[in-house]
Amino acid sequence: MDITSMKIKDMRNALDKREITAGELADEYLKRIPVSGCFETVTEENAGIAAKNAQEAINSGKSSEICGIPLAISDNICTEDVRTSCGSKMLYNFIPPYSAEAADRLNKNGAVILGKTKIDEFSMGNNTLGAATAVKENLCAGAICSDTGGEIGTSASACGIAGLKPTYGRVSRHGLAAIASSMDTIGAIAKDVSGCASILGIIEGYDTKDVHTRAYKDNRETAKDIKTLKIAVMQDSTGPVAKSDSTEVEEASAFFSSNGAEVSACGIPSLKYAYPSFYIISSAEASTNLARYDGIKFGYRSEKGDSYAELVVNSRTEGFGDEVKKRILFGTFTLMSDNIKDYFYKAMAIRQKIRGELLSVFDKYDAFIFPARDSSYNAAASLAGLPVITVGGISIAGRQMEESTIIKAAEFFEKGRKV
Amino acid sequence: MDTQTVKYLANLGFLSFDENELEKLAEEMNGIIESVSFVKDYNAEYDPLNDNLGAHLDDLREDKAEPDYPTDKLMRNAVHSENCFVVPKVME
Repeated sequence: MDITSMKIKDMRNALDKREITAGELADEYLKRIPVSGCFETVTEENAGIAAKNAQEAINSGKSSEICGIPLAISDNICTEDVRTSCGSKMLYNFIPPYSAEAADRLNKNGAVILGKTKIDEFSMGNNTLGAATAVKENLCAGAICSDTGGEIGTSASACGIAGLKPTYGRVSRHGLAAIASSMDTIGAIAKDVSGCASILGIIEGYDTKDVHTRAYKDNRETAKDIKTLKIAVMQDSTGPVAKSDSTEVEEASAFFSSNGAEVSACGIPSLKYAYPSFYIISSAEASTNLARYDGIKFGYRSEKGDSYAELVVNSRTEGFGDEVKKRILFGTFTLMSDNIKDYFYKAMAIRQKIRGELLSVFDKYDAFIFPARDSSYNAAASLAGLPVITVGGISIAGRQMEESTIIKAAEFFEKGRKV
Repeated sequence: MDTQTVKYLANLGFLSFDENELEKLAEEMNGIIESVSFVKDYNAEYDPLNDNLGAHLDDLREDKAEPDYPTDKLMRNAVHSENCFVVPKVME
């Protein structure tokens, strides 16, 4: 069996049984990574050093569950001394002086980082497709990447793998290029649910550099059993949902129901407002977050500009792509004094309403499922900061900080549907 | 939205566009605004006191100076730096 097609747990067993060394494993992947494709930067030398250190940790018998595992990091997550371009000309030469907290935790726990995966410019399209494709094509065993509006689930579903967007605040955002700060999260992508859970177990937790993080550990062993689980199947999608995705939700509902879970249809009244509100809030936050790119202290600087103001305007105009500029303009529009009440504050009011409606869903149910590529429910989950796990074309959302419940349900579904 | 408004927004966002770009952007902005404008009719008011409840300000680290990042690492990302960030002359 090709070892690069193995799941993280099996790979870790192979390392423990000395069937392969961390160095050999890293080499297997590195020789597969093409010059161009999913990776923006390949960190071959660093991977070699990390593999050597990981092997020593494995030999000592004291190593984490991702020690020696070859992973990738998406290119909007800072990595010390390794270029982090955010897929933009604006940061084409940016070498971060520090690593993001999540990347740092991977390094400290012995992960072997193979490189940085491609993203759309400043995550304005899909910021995880490079990472998801790399996992699917066996170019890395797993990856960490950002999620603002359901990108992890969408990409994981498109590539037939698993993805986990954690609760907002479960993983530190320190070192993640900020776009929509109130919804940005760092999550995991892997071949299976267990792989995503292993990565989350390393990167989660309190960080003094992010006030939204919490020291919170939930336990999968004590999470609700499938037979006692109450699952809502969300209806009335307003986003474009592929027929195959709806079928997968129907099949998943039947699967959970036949295995003893209490499954029933549900919905939220404000669903049709979810995506527009998400778009307004994310654009407004992006327009302010992107104001820091002026070409002075870091990033692209124009050759033209006789004054400070001209230099900044020229640097930003030449450095940003069309989609980013459009989002800056629209975000600025929603924040103008004439518009802020009608657009930004209204979207924020809807967000509070949707959060309340989803909390009501959790009064009756432990989790809800929806088509992984449904933009409305992805937006609603992001607005409410809920954890979402995606496998087999469906997404399962749970209460904040109760990842264990949805991970256990997703693992059960993943194993059962293959029988 | 007309081209003058786009120009105003661009000015606020430190961006610049030529006339053709302004016209194209005005059209695109109108499309976006039209697709989201129904949120204006939603009957609810934003309550700022009921927001950001997830920020844990009691857990902040001790207010004590800690070592910062090395200056050379911070300066290496600037295109023009001579122990400072060099910009065009601001005052005559």
